[in-house]
Amino acid sequence: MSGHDHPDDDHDQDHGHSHYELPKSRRARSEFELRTLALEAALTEKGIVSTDSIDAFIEIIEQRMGPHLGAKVVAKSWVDPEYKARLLADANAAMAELGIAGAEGDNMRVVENTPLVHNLVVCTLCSCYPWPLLGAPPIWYKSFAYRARAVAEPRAVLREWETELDPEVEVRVWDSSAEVRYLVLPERPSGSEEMSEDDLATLVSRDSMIGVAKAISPTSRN
Amino acid sequence: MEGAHDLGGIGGFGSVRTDDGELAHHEPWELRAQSLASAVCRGARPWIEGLDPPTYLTTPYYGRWLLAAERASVANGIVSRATLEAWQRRIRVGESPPVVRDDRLRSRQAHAMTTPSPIASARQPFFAVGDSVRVKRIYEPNRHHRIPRYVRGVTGSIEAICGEDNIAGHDSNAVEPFYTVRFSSGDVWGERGDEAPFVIHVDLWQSYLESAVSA
Repeated sequence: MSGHDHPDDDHDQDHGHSHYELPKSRRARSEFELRTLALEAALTEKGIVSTDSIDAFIEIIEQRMGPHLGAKVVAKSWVDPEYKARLLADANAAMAELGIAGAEGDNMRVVENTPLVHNLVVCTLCSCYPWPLLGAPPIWYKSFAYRARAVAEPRAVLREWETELDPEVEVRVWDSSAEVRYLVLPERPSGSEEMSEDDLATLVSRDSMIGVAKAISPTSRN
Repeated sequence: MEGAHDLGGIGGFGSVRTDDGELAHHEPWELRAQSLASAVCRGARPWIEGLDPPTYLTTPYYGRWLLAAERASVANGIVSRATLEAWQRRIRVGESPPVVRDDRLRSRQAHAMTTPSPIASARQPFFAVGDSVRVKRIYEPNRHHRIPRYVRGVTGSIEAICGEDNIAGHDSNAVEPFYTVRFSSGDVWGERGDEAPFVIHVDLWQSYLESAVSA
């Protein structure tokens, strides 16, 4: 996922380069872009940031971090009950076993879905999100609608994803209001019993690790 | 701050899912703005939360990061408003930011992004798991804090002791235990016909809480 999907015709983003390039017109495309570039220029001049320090931030959050790592953790916990126990007891140590660590994931807690419990993660005050496991949050996660509604009508929010829960299931919402970041461990879908760990990881969607959806059913995918 | 960022339970925003909601962001400047904010302040939360409500509610997500980065840069004396405005004029007429390579800054940024900095465990937590606690009612229009309005005055129970860390809103050296507090939806929102009961967890610092006698 990248930010290079801008609809403007005049942009000339060189995908091989990570550092910022203005369109051929040399005009910022919006007031926000203009002010961002002005602040970048002023801070670069002061030696607070450099072009490549900003590029490093973006490259890490866009390319190194991402839901492929969350899916790896989940798939491993599906096939290895001891790993799952370690993940639920000390998520950071279990992530470190797979070489996963980083900003906005320093204090992780993984919460497990079961036939009787469904977890949902939100940040009502801003947009706290487990970057090392999921990357940058999707736009809907940061929307006013999600932040307002997830703690007030979670089942109604889940229905937007066609996630229907049985009435006896307890919905547990986690508002990431301080320094802990949450990841949902979705249930392993039925029909996946014969699948390898790598194949299982393809069933673990980002949305299932936020809790708005369940893991992808292997039978529905064919 | 009693700002517009405190959104839990506000009605009228409509659907969560939208056609363009799946992407993380749209335009190349957006993550740059976020990166700049992370470079000029220790935490961007107070700067974003301090935006006046009309601005907060009408500025797109990464625009709020940009405004926070500008405010923090000027308030922390890193750049002057005049320098910023001068650069805005230069960019407006087609100039680009200088391209600067700096190994030290780059590797410091990469290190900060990839190295965990875990919080300490709580040395002397006042509350224990299972304790009944009530969230204090407060009014702090000018000070950063992390107490969502929807749980103020509500009684819940300690679900976990998370550790101890800088308490939001106090001087940077003050550390305090914080907890995951479990609330029932009925206690927060009342009994409702349209939504079955559920559980809400909110992470709260110790001084936001007071003991409540279990019913």
